[in-house]
Amino acid sequence: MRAMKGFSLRSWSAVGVLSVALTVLLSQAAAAETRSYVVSWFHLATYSQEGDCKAINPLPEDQIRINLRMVGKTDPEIDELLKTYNGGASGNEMTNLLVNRGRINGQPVNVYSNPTSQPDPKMNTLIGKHVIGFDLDGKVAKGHSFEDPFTHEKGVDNQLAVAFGCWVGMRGTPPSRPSWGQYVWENLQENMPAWLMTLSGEDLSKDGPITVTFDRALEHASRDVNGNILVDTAFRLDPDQRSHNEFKGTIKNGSLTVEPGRFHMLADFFLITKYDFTNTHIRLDIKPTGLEGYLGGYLEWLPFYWNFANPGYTIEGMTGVDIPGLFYNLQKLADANPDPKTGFNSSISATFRLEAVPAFIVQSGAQAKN
Amino acid sequence: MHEKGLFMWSKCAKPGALALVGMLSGAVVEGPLVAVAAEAAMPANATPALKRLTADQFRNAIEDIFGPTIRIGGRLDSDVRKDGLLAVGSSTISVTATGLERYDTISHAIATQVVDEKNRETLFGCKPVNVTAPDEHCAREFLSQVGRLLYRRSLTKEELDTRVQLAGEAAQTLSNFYSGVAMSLAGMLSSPNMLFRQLETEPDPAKSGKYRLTGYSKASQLSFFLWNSAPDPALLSAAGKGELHTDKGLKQQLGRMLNSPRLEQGVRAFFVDMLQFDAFDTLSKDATLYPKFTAKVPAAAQEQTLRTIVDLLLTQEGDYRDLFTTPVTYLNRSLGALYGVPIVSDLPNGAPDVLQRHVYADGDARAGILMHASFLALHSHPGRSSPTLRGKAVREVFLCQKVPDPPGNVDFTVVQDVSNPLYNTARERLGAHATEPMCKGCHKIVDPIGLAMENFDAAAGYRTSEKNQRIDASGELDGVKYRDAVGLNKAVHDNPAATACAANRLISYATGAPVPRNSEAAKSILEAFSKNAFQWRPLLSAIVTSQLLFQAPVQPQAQQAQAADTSTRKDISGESK
Repeated sequence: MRAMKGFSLRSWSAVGVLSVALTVLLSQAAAAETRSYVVSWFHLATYSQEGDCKAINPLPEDQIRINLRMVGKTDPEIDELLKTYNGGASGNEMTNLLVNRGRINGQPVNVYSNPTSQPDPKMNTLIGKHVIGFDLDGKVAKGHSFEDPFTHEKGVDNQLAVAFGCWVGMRGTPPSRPSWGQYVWENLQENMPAWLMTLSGEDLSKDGPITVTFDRALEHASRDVNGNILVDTAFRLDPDQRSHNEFKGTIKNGSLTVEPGRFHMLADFFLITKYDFTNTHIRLDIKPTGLEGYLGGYLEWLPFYWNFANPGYTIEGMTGVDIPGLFYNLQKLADANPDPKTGFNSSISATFRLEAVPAFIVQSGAQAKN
Repeated sequence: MHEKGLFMWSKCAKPGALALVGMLSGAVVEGPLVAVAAEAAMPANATPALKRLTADQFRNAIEDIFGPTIRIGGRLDSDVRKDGLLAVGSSTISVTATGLERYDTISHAIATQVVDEKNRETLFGCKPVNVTAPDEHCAREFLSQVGRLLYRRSLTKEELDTRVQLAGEAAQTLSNFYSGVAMSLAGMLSSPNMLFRQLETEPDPAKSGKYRLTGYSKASQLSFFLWNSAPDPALLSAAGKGELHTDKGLKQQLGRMLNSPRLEQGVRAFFVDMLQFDAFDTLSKDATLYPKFTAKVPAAAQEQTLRTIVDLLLTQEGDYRDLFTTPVTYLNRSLGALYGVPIVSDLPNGAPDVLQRHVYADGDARAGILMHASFLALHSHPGRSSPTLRGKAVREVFLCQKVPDPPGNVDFTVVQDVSNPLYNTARERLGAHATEPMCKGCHKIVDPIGLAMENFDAAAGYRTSEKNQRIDASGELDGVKYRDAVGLNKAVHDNPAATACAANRLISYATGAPVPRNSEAAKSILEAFSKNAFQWRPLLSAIVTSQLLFQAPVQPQAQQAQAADTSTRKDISGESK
């Protein structure tokens, strides 16, 4: 590691004030003030309300029963099979039945790899009025436009929340978090290097222009006594440019927004390989304790689907999300970038809740990987 | 019945004196061991005749003798602090009934590992002719060598014969030579000869009618003082040859020990004791208020301070006083987050969070060991800082000035109620509390010290305000006024009591007794400390050569007779003790 050359960044929050000389970091040279953060929460923004689903989708065991009936099992047979349920590990009869419940030419196939080998189960989707997000397309269209419950912006596009919104594990209303989101993010935190952010501007306590960056660290995030991300930890910046993102934006009344751009962050190869948003919008409140807000844009839904299909059997067992059902939901609700070959939209609007806490960032002497 | 290492205390006829008697669960194998703790019969500052090994000393001795692969599980009896040191308390404690059981269990566990197949090649110098039967020759060779290290002296012929006999009988019963040796070894490990350091005396040929410590007792004193462990074979050999009774022999061993890597272990042990790090065992912080005080922090905080001390005093051969101002320290990521200092590591994710050298900028309030979490957090409450506890600790730990405990009927409400809107800061709360006459006197001498550290919260995190009110960190120590913690550090650095305290504490640590008032020897040691720019090795050397370390314990008549007896006792090597 190269020595920190007056390059350390830190928040100006509780631990005291440290004037930061920032001379080299990326392109925001000569900023009078830079604050640095580690992302402490990033998952689909949910705003679940009573009555926003026609019905809540089945719980895991109910969904398993439905799927086993689909392959011709009787209820007594299913009761026997459920006695062998082993929580998601492979190898037993029930696992094989569920994994290979797809049919192509009458032959069993892996339903996660071949989601259309199962008929669309028509899983419930959100029908409420509110979703958290941004108006990405500038249109207030019928059918898939909503109102943001906090900004009251109309025409909000967050079809991913619509697609997921009626599964119990995907439901939550701030400040409570969806349990599946908690599971995914906590696992990502343990398994992937931390995500870092910087804000740079003349005076971040005042309105004005700002530069926002996202990068990966070389280190994983640490936890505090309460299991939250430890504040004021130091990280080395990963020079890998694949996860470097920079946005120009504005601070107004203590909140920042950015000019739309691309957001591409590597995550963890096992759970979520990467997040890749286009037309990215960001809205964050700048607080003494860190940043809180939302990041939204369009995701290519098929790569996103594979994140679920890969551990599909486990996810079905844990959450009840019917993986082929999710595929059909995503395909139907995708709302951008039509693919001329398939006739389907290839991208889906999505907004994620983003939180970050103060951290130090130091330069790594490692050579860029790309 | 075979010995199981059990022993017990029995009251001597002499009031206040306790005699330790080696026992078997059935048959005595070692005869009466002999020592007198003699609490009531002796002056408070007399050299104690008997000290129980601290838990660390027991572990260090086992590791030094058998190697680091031997695991020592379990928790040993806790140590007792007296006159500011556990080392002094160790001369007034015994072994509890449950502690005895633990020693017995641990001893058997250690012995089992020692004779384990994977360790035999290393630890046994011989092999039995038949592994399923007793082998007196091999048992005698092993037990005599190990026994000398465990008892810190050569075994008498009777002791060794008994041990060998026990090993043989057990081997016969268990049809295994090594199991037999393990039984005998376990008894030695939990024997009072192992668990207690007994200062034995002999007539001093240079001073008619006077007694001196035996060479082996001198070796133990030296080794536990400088290395916090049992003497190594070289030191025992010098002791056996009587070399520690000569200036030349003593200086030779002293020089060797001061330059040994094991000196660090000894220096660490002293500061762990002096700085009262045993209190970390029960330290807790409010998780809501101090979420950064993770489970890793207490160990890291202690290590930060010990590394800082070892670096300054041993590696740099620096001035003891600079411990209070040095900008050099050692931090890991956990401490970095707590202190607000960027610390990263080149090690892979998941690797231990190692400490690395860090130098604070000039004038940084974190300079000096008083600003480490090992002091600031340790001397605070779980949910709030305490200028009083911190000030008291500076007085007692670093200046050796006893601050009286508060009277039993004091009302602490004003100090404890941090939500009282009338008093936003600790200074204001203490100001209101100290108006009570019974409190005023003590607070006057401790609060101005502790208030200088108010920029550090109860977990050692930095802050500039409390309840939105800017913290006033000014104060005064013995007439020296300062604006903040930096000034306090310098005031302690320059306070003559700090160096006198360090020297006296170290003398007490070495002897196991408080330093007598107006001790000429202590004065000479302090002068030597000063003359040598307050360097640590010269101080250690001065204490050893002052002969305070080798002062014979005051001996009641009964023990004098015993001492005369041990002086003529021959060990198995034929060397006079």
